[in-house]
Amino acid sequence: MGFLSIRVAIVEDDKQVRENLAHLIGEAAGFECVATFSSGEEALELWPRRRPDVVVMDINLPGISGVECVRQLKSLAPDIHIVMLTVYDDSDRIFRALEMGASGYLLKRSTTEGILQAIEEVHRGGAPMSSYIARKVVQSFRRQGASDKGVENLSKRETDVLEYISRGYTNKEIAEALGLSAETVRGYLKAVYSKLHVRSRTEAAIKFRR
Amino acid sequence: MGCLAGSWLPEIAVRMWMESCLRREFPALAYASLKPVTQLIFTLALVLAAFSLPTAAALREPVHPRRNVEEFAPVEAKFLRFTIRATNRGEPCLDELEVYAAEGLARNVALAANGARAQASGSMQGYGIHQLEGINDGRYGNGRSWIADRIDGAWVQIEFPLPTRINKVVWGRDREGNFIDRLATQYEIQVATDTNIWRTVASSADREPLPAEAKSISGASITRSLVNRFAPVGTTLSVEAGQASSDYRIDVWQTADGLPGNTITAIEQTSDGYLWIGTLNGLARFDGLRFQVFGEASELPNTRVLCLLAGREGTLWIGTEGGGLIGLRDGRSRSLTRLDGLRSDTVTTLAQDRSGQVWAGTPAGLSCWREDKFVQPTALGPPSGSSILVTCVDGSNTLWAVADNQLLTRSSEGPLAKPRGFDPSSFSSVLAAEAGRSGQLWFGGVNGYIGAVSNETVRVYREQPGQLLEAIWALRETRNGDLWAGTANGGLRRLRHGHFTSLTTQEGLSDNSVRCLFEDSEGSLWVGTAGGGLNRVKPRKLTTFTTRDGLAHNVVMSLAEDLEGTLWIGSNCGGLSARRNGVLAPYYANYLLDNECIWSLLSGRDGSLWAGTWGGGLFQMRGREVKNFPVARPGNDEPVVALCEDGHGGLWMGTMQGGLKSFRDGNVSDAQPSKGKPVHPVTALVQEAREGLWVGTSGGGLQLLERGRLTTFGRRDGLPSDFIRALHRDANGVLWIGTGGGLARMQEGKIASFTRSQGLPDEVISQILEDDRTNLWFGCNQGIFRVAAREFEAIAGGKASRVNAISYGRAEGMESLECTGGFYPAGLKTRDGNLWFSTVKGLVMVDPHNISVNEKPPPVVVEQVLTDGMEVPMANTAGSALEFGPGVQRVEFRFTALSLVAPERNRFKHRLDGLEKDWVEAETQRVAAYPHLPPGRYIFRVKACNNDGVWNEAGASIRFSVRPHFWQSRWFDASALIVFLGVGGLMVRLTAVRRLRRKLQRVLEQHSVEQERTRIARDIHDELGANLTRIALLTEVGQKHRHKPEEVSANLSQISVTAREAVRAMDAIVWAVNPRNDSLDNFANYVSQFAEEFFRPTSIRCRLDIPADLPEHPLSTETRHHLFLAVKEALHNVVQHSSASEVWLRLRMDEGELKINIADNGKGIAASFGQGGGHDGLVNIRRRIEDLGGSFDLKSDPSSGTSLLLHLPLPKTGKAWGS
Repeated sequence: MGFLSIRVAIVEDDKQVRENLAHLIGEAAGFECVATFSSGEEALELWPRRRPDVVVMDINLPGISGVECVRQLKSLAPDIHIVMLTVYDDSDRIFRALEMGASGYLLKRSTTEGILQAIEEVHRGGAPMSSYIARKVVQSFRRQGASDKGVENLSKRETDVLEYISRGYTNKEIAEALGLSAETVRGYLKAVYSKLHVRSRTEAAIKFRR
Repeated sequence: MGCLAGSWLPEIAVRMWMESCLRREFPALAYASLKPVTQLIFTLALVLAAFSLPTAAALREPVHPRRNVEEFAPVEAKFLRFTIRATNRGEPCLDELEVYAAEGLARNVALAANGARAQASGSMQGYGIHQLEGINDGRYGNGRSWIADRIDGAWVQIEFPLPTRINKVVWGRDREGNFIDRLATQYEIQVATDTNIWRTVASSADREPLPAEAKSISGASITRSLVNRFAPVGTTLSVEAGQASSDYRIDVWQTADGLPGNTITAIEQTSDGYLWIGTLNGLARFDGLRFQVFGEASELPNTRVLCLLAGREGTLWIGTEGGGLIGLRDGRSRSLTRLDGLRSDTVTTLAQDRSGQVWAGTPAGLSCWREDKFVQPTALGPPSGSSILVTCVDGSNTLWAVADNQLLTRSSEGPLAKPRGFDPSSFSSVLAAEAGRSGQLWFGGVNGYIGAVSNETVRVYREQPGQLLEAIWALRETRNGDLWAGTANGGLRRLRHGHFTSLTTQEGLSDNSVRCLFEDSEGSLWVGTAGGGLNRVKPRKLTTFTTRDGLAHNVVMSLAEDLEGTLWIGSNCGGLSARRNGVLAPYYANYLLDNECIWSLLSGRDGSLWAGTWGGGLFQMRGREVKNFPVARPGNDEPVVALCEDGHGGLWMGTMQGGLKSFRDGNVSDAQPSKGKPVHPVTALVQEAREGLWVGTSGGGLQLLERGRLTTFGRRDGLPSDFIRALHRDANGVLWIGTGGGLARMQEGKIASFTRSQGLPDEVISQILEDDRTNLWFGCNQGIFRVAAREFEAIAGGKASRVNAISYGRAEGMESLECTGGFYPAGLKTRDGNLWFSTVKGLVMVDPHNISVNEKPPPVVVEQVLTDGMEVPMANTAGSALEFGPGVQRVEFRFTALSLVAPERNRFKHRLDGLEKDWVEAETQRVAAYPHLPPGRYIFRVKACNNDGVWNEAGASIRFSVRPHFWQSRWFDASALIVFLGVGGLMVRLTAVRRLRRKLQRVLEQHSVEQERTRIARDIHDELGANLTRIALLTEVGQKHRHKPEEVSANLSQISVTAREAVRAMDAIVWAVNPRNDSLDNFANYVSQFAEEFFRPTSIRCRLDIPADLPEHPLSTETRHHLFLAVKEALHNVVQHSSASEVWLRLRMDEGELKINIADNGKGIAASFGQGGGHDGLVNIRRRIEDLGGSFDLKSDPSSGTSLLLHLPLPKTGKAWGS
């Protein structure tokens, strides 16, 4: 548990899942489980004391929903990375969580390595994106982006990268195909996420004004 | 044994000693070579020697960690003490100390449940699982055992509730055989009538010492194999026969299951078939599955029910505490209290005589309800104020009552008086009375007896030693003549032929405090307890033998019956057991057989017992002589899973990896007939009449080996699967074939197959047996089922479409539903006609001659009708038709069948006259729903069968009509014609007709959706169920191996893989059923995710081409599901057969057609697809797509790979289901 360990917090209402996850993460080299919360409310109240780098959050929480919790946590701490945990693919909710600022998602049935990899990747600033999320992002920008003022649209390159992702290409393959470095591709994806996030906040703001 | 009187040396020890003399000092051969006369003299000499030798010379076997028996001459004892002087390692541990009564039924009197108390010199601190109560709680295993706080001088003592004559002690260190340390090696067992004078009845002094390797053991080396290095104890084991536990099955319901309260005061059954349960928290109606509670919220003002009576006129009478008497009839209630002339508002007991008078006993005397009013109490005596506890009316219409704890009676019109012929005051403290069918009047109370009054005389049944009869709270005589007594604290006692047997929490009763008893119309005994809820006690149809009953290990693999009638039972690595003269015991032949994984058994004609093992080769046992033959190579030998004699003194052996082998004169040779072809495990072997051998394989179908020629039968020949699990050749030479996908019958070369669609409850057929009445019995993964052979005949001849399979499972006494399969023979019919099935939890016996059939057709009731989710009141509509308003969307019927033996086995069929022509097989579903019914008149009919498949053909029916909208009515048609008489009117009518037609179409479609749901339910069961079972088994294996870290870790990773697989399967099912996913877009999302995940672990790159914006298209659950399965199958093919490096999944909407293209750059496939064999996948895809109304194109080229195009026309409208 050196100072370089990734500080992870878990928000999960199922006690067994929570404790097992905490145990697995705590045991792994380079990770430290600094807090576990059984609800979104608890997480919002107690997180500042623990200062996690990455929050692993169940999408299906009692009380305030995982999506809402992401929104509030992100507005309190924009730098925090959040990975959503889902039981099965609930594409709409996952997408909404991503819009609210989550950096990725995981199926609960993933292996321990899978979970640790995902945490590590978002902590490094990566923006893991699956082909179907990419498709959803393109879709959502295409449908609404043009009509709303004040909402930044995706750039040509960002759209290209997304298209490749949605076709099943890896970051490395995209880099090759577009003549970029893999790091640049990742940069585009981060930009996409932040635009998505900004857009959702702007939309919310517009709604409030009305 | 006269000269041994006074000595404890049992006969059995002498016999063993003699055997050991014969074995050791005088080799069998030498003995056999003596002349018969010499043999006789020799034997006599030995016997005399045995009798004249001092007892110490004949040593008993060494102590065994699992189980030791100490037998001694009967001795009276109030206390029994077990003192330990030394162990093999650590403080001593005792797993259950059992002490048996010498008289009556052998019964463990040391049980805490029977009132015995335990005391000890001290218990080890810090271990919850090793506390003193573990010594006599009736539960086996290290987890429920006692460990002392010291070694030398540690003792544990049992105090019996009464001085009892005992003659046997059974003890062990771990009855489950997992631990061998902490074993008492030097000990003494003493008894006393008071704690000052102790007398030794048994000790270790006459036992052989432990074998050397078992003496010094370290914690790490505690393994099963070492456990069995201990000397044999099998021959002296005996399981106490006649235990009630194996005769009855008990099911329990408590508040968590819907009961209003756990203290049951009364149970009654009304003529409509419902069971009524009175509790201190309210009244409930029970149909065997669901409780319908009548409590404070309903019409019953008082919820404390004390007694119930189903009146002859159809009224349910409810006696309450403080709320008077309530009559409930046709859903209406009437309350009677002191204001109406009742003696008290608390009614403790109810009875009805032949004239219909209802007798209500209260704490303030007796009331009689006659012709709608209470009779003046003065005529009834005894003095008002007597507390009446029980009333009952006997066969001669005489009223009996227990008043102030005395038995009184009333003949004709007189008052209650003392009965004639005996003095009731000698039987004070009476608490219960019951008028028996046989004319006897039973009574019992606190003094440990049961009295039976008959012809003015009393016969008294007193408790027997070890049969403590406590205060009796309830008595009930059942139809078969048994008398059941419910006691205040000691559970149930059954009195049969003057003998008592007990049924307590040890046998599964929920509580030992029995408050009331009732026998229902099908012969189940219902037991209401104070605090433990409701119990149903029914005779087991099947007998299950587990380790509790003397089996060595619960996972049974193989069976054989030898020439002497001994049944041999091979287990999965838990050794061999034998059942001889009704006594089942582990056969510790470890020094004979050094492998415990007995996967196949065979009793040879020459008297040998052959055992095929996993990894230890083949064993031949003849008496105590054992030979071992390697099958492949020593050390890691080929598992032998099937055995069969070849008719020439040799054997056929089916092996796991080496196929068929032949064994003759000690030599094993390869008999695999098909050289060069893949070798499949050989799982079953049956001899054909003339020199032929049927070989069942796992994956390679069925083979017939005849004079060196081999014929193979597989799926293409009509077998339901190529994975054969069982074979049976019946008396007529018909071969029955059990497979992993159904049953097949081969008769004169023709194969007929039977699956679920023909009514089989399960398709994994692992064992096939035939009883003496031409019924076939099958062991499957869902228990056991029985079908008359002629029913298969009828189907094969086209005369019937389904068989009537009678299922047997947990309700009938199985502990696990999974029958062992893939080993032969796993099921066996013994010469006495009994059928034996091996399961993963015990050995199951069926006595087909004595199996009772429930002949009573169950009453069928439609309990509720709902329209659009709202209940339709039905209380006062008997006979008249219901009428629903126009526009009703959905009509739902909820029904039940009142057979309470095994309600989960009641099956239903229903039909809606006016819509359906054929009966719908609803199986066990108790609800039927009809969406969008067009206007018209209908009759909903439902019929049901009981657990034994006996149908109530009359069933129940409900008439109803759906009123039309005004534009749907004839009246409107007419007026429209009159008013418009032209084009306008005609158009309206045409629209109406079209609308109706569409509606009808929709109803049919909805019905197919419901079928789809049934299928999905099966998916859940098959996919999730299989994985969860696997996990459960893996966990058990893991526990077994808990001392081997590598194996545990391998086990755990397998569990984790399986669990993830289960979750994945669940995800797929959840996705399939969730109507929120009924859109094209969602389908595209799911498919692309699936593909990504599917190809990730492979070396194939998956490219997706799915437009970001798909048009909004609804996709029905069914379409979506089939389409997905088709795509999945196609992707599977790519991985399995293509050798491609890239695959493309493309999806497009084009001119109202959905196009899905799966293309790869692999080697293409041969053009011969669609003919079965390896291209089943393609056939499936084509069938699925064609069923959906689409089509299928395949292009394949060795140079450019395979491309599969699926076309599916989709409706143009935006909403397919809306209206």
